[in-house]
Amino acid sequence: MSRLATRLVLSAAIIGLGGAYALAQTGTGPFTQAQVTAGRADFAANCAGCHGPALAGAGDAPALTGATFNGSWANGTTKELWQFISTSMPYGNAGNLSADTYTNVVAYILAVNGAKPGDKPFTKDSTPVKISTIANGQAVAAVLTPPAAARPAAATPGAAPAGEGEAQGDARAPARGRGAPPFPLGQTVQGTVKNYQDVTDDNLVHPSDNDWLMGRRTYQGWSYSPLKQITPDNVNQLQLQWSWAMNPGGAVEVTPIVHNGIMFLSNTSNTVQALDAKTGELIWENRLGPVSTVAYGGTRSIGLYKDKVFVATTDAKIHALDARTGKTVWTTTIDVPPKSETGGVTIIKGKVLTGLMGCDNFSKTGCYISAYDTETGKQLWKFQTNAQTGQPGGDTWNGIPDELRGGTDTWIAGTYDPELNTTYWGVAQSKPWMRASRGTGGASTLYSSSTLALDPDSGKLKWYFQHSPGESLDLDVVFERLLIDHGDQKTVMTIGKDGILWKLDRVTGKYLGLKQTVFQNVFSKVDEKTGKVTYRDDIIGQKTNQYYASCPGPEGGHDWPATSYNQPTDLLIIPESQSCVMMMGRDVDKKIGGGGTAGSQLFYFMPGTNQNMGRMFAVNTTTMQTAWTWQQRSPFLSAVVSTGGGVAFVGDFDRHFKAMDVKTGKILWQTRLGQTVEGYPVSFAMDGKQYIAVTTGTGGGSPEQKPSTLLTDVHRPVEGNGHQVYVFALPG
Amino acid sequence: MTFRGRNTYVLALVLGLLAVPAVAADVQYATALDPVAFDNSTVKNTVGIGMVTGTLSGSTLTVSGTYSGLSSAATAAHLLLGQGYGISGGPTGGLDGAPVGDLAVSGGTNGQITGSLKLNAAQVKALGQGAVYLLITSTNAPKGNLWGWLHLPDNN
Repeated sequence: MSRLATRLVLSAAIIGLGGAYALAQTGTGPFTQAQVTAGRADFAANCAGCHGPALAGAGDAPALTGATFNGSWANGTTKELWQFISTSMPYGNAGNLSADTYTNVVAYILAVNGAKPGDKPFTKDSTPVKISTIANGQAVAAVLTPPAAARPAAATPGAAPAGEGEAQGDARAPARGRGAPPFPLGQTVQGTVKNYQDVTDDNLVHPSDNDWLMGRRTYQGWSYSPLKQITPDNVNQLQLQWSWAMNPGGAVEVTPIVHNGIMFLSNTSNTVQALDAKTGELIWENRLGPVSTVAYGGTRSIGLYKDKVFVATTDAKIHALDARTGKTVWTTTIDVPPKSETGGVTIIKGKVLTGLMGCDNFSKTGCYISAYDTETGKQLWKFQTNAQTGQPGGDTWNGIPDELRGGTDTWIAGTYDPELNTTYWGVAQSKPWMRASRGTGGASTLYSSSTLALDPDSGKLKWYFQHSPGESLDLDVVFERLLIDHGDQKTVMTIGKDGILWKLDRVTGKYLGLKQTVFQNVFSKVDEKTGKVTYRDDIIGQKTNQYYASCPGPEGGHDWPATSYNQPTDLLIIPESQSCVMMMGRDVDKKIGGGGTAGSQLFYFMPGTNQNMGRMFAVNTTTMQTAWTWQQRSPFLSAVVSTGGGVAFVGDFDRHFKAMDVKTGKILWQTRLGQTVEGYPVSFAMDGKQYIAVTTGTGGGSPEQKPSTLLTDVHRPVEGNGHQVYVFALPG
Repeated sequence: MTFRGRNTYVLALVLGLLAVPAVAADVQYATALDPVAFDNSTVKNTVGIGMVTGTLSGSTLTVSGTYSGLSSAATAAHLLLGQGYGISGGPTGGLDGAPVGDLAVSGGTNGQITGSLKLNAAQVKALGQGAVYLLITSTNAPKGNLWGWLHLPDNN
């Protein structure tokens, strides 16, 4: 081949590799530089919490640059982009920003994607311009990063707050927009817990009935309190004892931790507070920061061990605080944003174990579970959940490079069997959500959608069981692993977004049984003998930029609101949702920082449900037979907590907090609170009196976003977050 | 299909076998009509509810029902083949699927749907599998406003 021919071939190859959009011309857009500047701040205040400050997308929020943006908008117009954003954003508050804010945000997004400012301001009446003629999707760093002089001072512990809604070290921008009141970080309230008692290893294995020491109260993950004072006969006498307004911003999915009459409460902005659990009096507060963003980042649980409080944070750090004073003892970096950790911690014999989130976007470090010394913060081990080349399971990714193996987040803290010395973790799906976007074909992508059994001393894998190999519709099986014994048989049970309840032998990982608990149409076959699931043919052969129906959708089935195991009745009480989506996988940029979830969704009610999105389902864990079930219009946004008194509590999207009879599911009592009842309710006791604590709030991810769109008749406060903890008890 | 629905199908089959009619009995179907798949930007145009019943007599399906609460006038009602219960049939995953036939729609934001269609064997089979759905279009939602998959009534 001649040199000329070679050059021509190379040129053609380069053009081909670059793709049609990469070489598309950028041009002058129908907006001004002033709108871009204003749009940057507006985006940070209203959009970056979900889409990320670099517009890379996260969770349900798609990337707004690169191949994903081009796939969605290259053939659309500036007016269509404005129309979509102004009628659908921000999530949960659609259409309620000012007209200028919407036009500014559109100008900013276009500018980030390469469009150049012109001299005419963009308005809703501007002449539509085809986006591919002015923007090529290649993120412009100079637009993303404002001139240094224009940035506000970063907020650090004790520093003055940012005033213009810019990012402050967090990869996601704060929710506190322009005009927000000051929010200094650091130890903002000094005080001492006078009657604090160190938490021992034995306390964690055999907690006092009065305490709630960890996420689901015990190592077995039951979300069950043995307290018996509140019963089906008297629960209707419950009264509010006290409440406490929590930080705004971010997401509330928190478990109040209670020990010896003190409530340790994790707020947004990674703020930890110690409160007198009897009176609600604040004792100390440490705002670790960074300031939370609008929708994501709800820490699900913190941990207590000896004289320390352990909290994993939205900026992928882990902190140890002095439990008596709240002062920071040590801080260790797990990873760097956009990685984060909100799933909480599990403390086992002097080690604090935590997972990792924010693994949507491609990175060198991938995703993992790791353990740290509780005294020093030194990392002791880590287990890679996106198996790498050369590692066991590393050959299950269809040969794609290690750095393109996204997802496999661990966003619920694991459980632990002290006798077996084994900790059990659920792993989320690989990302992007759809295999067509990932390029993984029919590969199983270990250890996605799996149960892992790990040695807590070394992090060594004892066994794994993959529930849905090659998961492709954001239907991961990542949630609570409940450890339940049936005679001599030790089982681990879990339920995922697909609504399949699994029972495994927790010694060996052997499959023991399953039960489908909600309607599903994504699997053409679910083999109850082997536990093997088979996707529909069209899902197996999926392509990008086409819709595929999925019942349930990413809301679940089951999602983060946890199941309760009521030991006296041997019932699992499972909060479930019923909705469907049409999911479209987008093309993604196959490079570090690319990827993301890359799915567009359209929502619809699950057929046959009469538009009831909430379903409560009780199943006997021995027989796997349904005990009772009922449904309601609003889905549940809190875990279920059940008690030895035979009462189970749950909260819903429409602000109701309800008490059920464990044996029948009958509603015994309910009250209506100020915002969606969201988080993990707990029960504890002091001075012989039983209490129930529950939080309200926003930012619950898919379980909150789907009903926000589908249930237009359910009205919730849009001004302020309504983040609050409520504590109830019987009179006297 | 829900498990209850599947059981109902089995029961219907057993009852059908036990009964020894000279002519196959009519089979009753029903579905609620819900908004088609939407997002926040299209929700305002895809509101409404409805209820439809169908009677399969031999290979003839007679449909009648009502709808209400649309944001704009209904323009057409189509019976379509989906890929399964809760799954539309469009080749690109759209709202539409292979046509079974059109039904009469009275128009307006509240109204009636009526019609009678002769089904072929494949369509009858699909109906029995819960894969036939009704799609109402409207002025504001020309690709689809309400839909529902016909099923045995107890499936609700």
